Amino acid sequence: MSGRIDHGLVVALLAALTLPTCSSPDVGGGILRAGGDLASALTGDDRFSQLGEASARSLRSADDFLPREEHFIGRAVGAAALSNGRFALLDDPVVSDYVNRVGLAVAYSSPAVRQTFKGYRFGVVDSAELNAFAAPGGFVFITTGMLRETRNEEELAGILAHEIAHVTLRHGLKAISQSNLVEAGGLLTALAADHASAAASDKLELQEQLKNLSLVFGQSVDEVVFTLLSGGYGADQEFAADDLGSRMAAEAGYAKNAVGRFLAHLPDAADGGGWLSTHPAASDRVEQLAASGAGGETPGMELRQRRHQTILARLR
Amino acid sequence: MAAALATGLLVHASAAPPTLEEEMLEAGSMGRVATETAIVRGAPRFFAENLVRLTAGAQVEIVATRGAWYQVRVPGRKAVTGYLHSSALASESRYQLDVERAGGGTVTYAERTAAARGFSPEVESRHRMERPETERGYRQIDRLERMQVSPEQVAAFMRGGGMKP
Repeated sequence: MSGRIDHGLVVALLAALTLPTCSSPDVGGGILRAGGDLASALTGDDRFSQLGEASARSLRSADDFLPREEHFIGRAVGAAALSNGRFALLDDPVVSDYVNRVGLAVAYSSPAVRQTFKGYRFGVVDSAELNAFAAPGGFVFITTGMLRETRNEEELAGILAHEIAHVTLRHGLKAISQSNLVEAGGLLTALAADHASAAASDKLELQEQLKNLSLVFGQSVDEVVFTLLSGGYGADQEFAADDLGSRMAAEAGYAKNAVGRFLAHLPDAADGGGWLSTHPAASDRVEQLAASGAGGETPGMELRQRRHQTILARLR
Repeated sequence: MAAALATGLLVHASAAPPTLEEEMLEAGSMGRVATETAIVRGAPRFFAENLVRLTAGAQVEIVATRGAWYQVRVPGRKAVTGYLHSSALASESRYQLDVERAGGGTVTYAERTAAARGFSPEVESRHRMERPETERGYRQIDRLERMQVSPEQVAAFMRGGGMKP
């Protein structure tokens, strides 16, 4: 693609730079005060230094994205999914609040849940399609079609936990190709050089780099969207999300194997489209999930079933 | 890692290793908050007492590791000791550019953030200009992001469903 930068040039450029002392104005690094008499805001390390030599920033794998970067990728992925005419958020705050509370019960209870930049959000999508998916950064979606098929809160929690597990394991980010990772890494280094430069002399160069970065960003987003909505994850990733999600849901107090029971009850599951067509055969997943623990009754199931039925009644 | 989880955990579900095979920081080292905010809690649980809220880039000292949590000390005039989930913290080095330290220099957090800024609002703005058809989706994402449910509200919801937060 155009705009591929010369890393050697970046190194040469950086070698000539002296960094300014100012800290970034939009960076926190502080305490917002949550009660108690606390020290004044902490700031990032403002000591400046002379940057001798730099190489391109390492972006070798999905694990190298910082939470903040993952967040912006996730926003774009979610926006793309909600713009393609297939999905739109349901306009019913009661249903949305309920689904968010179920999802967050899992997210706040399990120590296995990876924390994302702004935390997890659960969106209900008004669509008859049987689907649930998660964008990087913790934007989890479930369709009303899928929600209607759940028979109790345990099954809903299991599905949401499966999606939280995909985010925790960075499966969405792993859909980004190596070439885009390398490209983005190089451009980020170049941008850092320009931002850090007191001179910031070449605005055109900066603009060009930003333009190229947004191209790589767009391509990366496309790769994730395709995987989420069309291509599907690998079977190993789905089994891993089933297993981890099942444990996460159980740590919140939900029955362990609810996703297995949900899948088993679906009629002619393999032809269901969406969540089922992009996933391994339901029968294989049911078998794997059953092998990891039977699940069964948990305290309060009846209470949860009642409120779940109230919510489902709103969708009819 | 996914493959390891798929094979290892499915076969040995009862002896599952810690889920997050992330870089863990050592006691005595410093870490930076990598999420937008992070609440230091009185115990290693999200529902535990809220001691102090930190924002991205805040520096803490790792005191000890408790499973997926760190016991941390927040420096300041009145130092606070509490718990942060390990995935909310990154090492100092993750915030630094990949730098050869010629000249005895270091790259600071502020500088590192300048690099991170490259994958942030500026790029999103350009991306949105290039793809005006996604505006409808972005508006919905913004709506979703505005939904705030606190751990306390979730705890109440759980108790209402007979669960123990």
